[in-house]
Amino acid sequence: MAAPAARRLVTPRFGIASVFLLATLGFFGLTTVLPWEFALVLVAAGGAAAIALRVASAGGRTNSAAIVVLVVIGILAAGAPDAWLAGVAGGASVLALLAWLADDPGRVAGSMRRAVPTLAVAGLAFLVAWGSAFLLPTSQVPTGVIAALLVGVLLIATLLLARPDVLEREAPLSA
Amino acid sequence: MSSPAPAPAPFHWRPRGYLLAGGGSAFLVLAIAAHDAVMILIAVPLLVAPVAAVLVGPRPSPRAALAWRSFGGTGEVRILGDVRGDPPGTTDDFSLAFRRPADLTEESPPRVEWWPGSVRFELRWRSPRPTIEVVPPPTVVWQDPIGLVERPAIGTAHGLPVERYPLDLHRLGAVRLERTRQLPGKSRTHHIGTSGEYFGIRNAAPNEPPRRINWRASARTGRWLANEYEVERTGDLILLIDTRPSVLGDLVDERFLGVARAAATGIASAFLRQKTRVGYAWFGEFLGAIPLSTGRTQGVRIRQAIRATRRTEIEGPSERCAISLRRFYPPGVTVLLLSTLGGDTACDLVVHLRHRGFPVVVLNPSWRALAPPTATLPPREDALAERLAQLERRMRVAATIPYASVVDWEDLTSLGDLAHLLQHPPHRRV
Repeated sequence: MAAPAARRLVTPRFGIASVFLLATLGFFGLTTVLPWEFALVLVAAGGAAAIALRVASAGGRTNSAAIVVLVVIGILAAGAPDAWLAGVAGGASVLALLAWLADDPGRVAGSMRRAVPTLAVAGLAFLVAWGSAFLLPTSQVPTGVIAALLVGVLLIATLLLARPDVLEREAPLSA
Repeated sequence: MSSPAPAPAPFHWRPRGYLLAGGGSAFLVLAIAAHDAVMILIAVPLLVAPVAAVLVGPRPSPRAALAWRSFGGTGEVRILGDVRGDPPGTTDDFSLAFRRPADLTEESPPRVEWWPGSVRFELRWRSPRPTIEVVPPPTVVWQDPIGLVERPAIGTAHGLPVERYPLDLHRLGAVRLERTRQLPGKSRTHHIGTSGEYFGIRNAAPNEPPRRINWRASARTGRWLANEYEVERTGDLILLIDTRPSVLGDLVDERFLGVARAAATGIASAFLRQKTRVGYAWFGEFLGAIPLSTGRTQGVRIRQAIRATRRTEIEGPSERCAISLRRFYPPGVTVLLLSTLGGDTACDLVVHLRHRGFPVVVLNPSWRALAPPTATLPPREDALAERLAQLERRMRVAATIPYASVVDWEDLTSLGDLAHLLQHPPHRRV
C-alpha cells in the first residue's frame, strides 16, 4: 500500500472555473445600470477575495468565499434592469458559482464532471423561469407563478429532509 | 445466522447547502418585494441546486470497505488505509473524518488522496508513552461534488489496535513469584510427594512418569491425570486496573488507562510464558474478572478483556472491589494494582484488599508524565502547580505504603523497577 502523495491546491481546472466565474460576473456587471468602472472593480475585488480565501485556506473557507460572491451578485442584481439579457447574466453567474464550488482543489479531479447532473437540473429550472419571465406575453403573472413554484420546491426540500424514505426504498442489506 | 443490517443513513444538508438555500430565499423575498424578475432568476438555481443534489445522490446508501494497518517503532504510529466504495463511482465523492485516541498525539495532519476507485490515507501520530488503544475506523461520508448534501456510507470495519509496550518486560519473565498460600488458617497436608507438598491434580502430559499419575482420579474420570506439587509451581498473580474516575480529569484518566492496558498486557504475557496462573480484573462501578488460569487461551482471554476495558463514570466503593475479588480468587494471591491513586477512595482500595487477604503491589504511573502541558499558566505558577501535584501524589503514596509495596513509575517507559521489586521483595511478602 503506497503512501498517498501531497495534494495540489491549485489545479488548471480550478483556474478555468475561476476565470469562468469572473467572466460571468463581469458580464453581469456590464448589463447593469451601474457605472461600468464600479461594476468591474467590484467584480475584480470580490472575485479576487473569494479566490484568495479559498486557496489560502486550502478549501477550508470555501463557504466564506461563496458568501463574498453572493454579496457581489446581490449588489449587481440591485442595479440590474428588468431585461432578458440581465436575467441571463444573473442566472449564468449563479451557475458559474455552483460550478466554481464544484471544483474543490482538495478533492479528486473530475468533480465538475460529476456535478453536471446537479448543475443541469439547476440550469433547467433557470431556463424555465427565464422563459416564463421574458418569453411569455405578460411578465407579472409568470412572476407569481414562479414564486409559487419556488415555494413548492422549498416544501419538497423540507419533506425530503424530514422523510428521506419518501423517494427511497432500500432493500435489506443482509438476508 | 446473519448480523442485523445497518440502518440506511439519510441525506443531510451541509452548511453550504443551507447557505445557498438561505441566499436563494433572501433573493426570492427581495424579488417579490421589488417585483424584480432578475432577482427571481438568480434565486431559482440557488434554491433548486440543494434539492437537485439530493435527487441525483446515490441510492441506496453507498458502502465503504476499509483496509488499513499500522506501522511504526517505539513512539511512532503510522497508519495507512484504503477505502473502496460500492458502487465504485461513489468513491470519488467520499470524505473521511478521523478520530484520534486521547493517548496519541498528532505528528502531521492526515494525508488523503483519491485514486481511481479508492481513497488512500496516511496518518502520522505519535505515542509518547506505552499504550494500547483502538483507533476507531474513519467516518466515511458521501458528499455531492458541489458540497451541498452528504450521506454517511455504510461500513463494517473494526477498530485498529495500536500497541506500544514498556521496556524490560523480558525481566519480568524471569521473576518467580512467591507461592500463593492462604495466610489465615492454612494447614499443611500430610500427603508429601517426592517433589514437595501436594498442590492438586492436573491433566497428565503424554510423557508423564507413572509415579506422577494419580491412578484413582484417572480411573474416576476416564482420562490421565497427574499429581502436582507446590515446589514445581510459581505464585499466582492478579492484575487489577482501577478504572474509576479520578480528580486528575478525563484526559489524564484516559491516558492512564492506555498506559495501564499496555503494562497489564505485557506483564500478563511475561508471566503466562512462565506457566504462572494469571487472572485479570477491572474495577469501576463494579468488578469484572477473569479467573486464574494459564496457557495461550488464557492469554487471549486476558488480552481481549484488557482491550475492552473502559473508564467508568461512576465510582464504586473500594470495599465492593475487595469483597467481589474474593468471589473470584482465593486469598493470598498477589494483586498487582494499576492505579493513579488519584481517586477519592483509591488509597482505601489497597487497605480493603489487604484486609481481605490479598498482598498488594501498586504500580503507580506518574501524574506529570500523563498530564498535558499547561500553556495557560505562567512558568512560575506552572512550576508551583507541578510541585503541588507532586506533593499531593507523594502524600497518597505515603498513605498507601503501610499496606502495599508501591512502584513509583516515573518515566512510563521501563518496568525495571517493578521487576526489581518482585525479584527482591521487601520484608513484607508480595
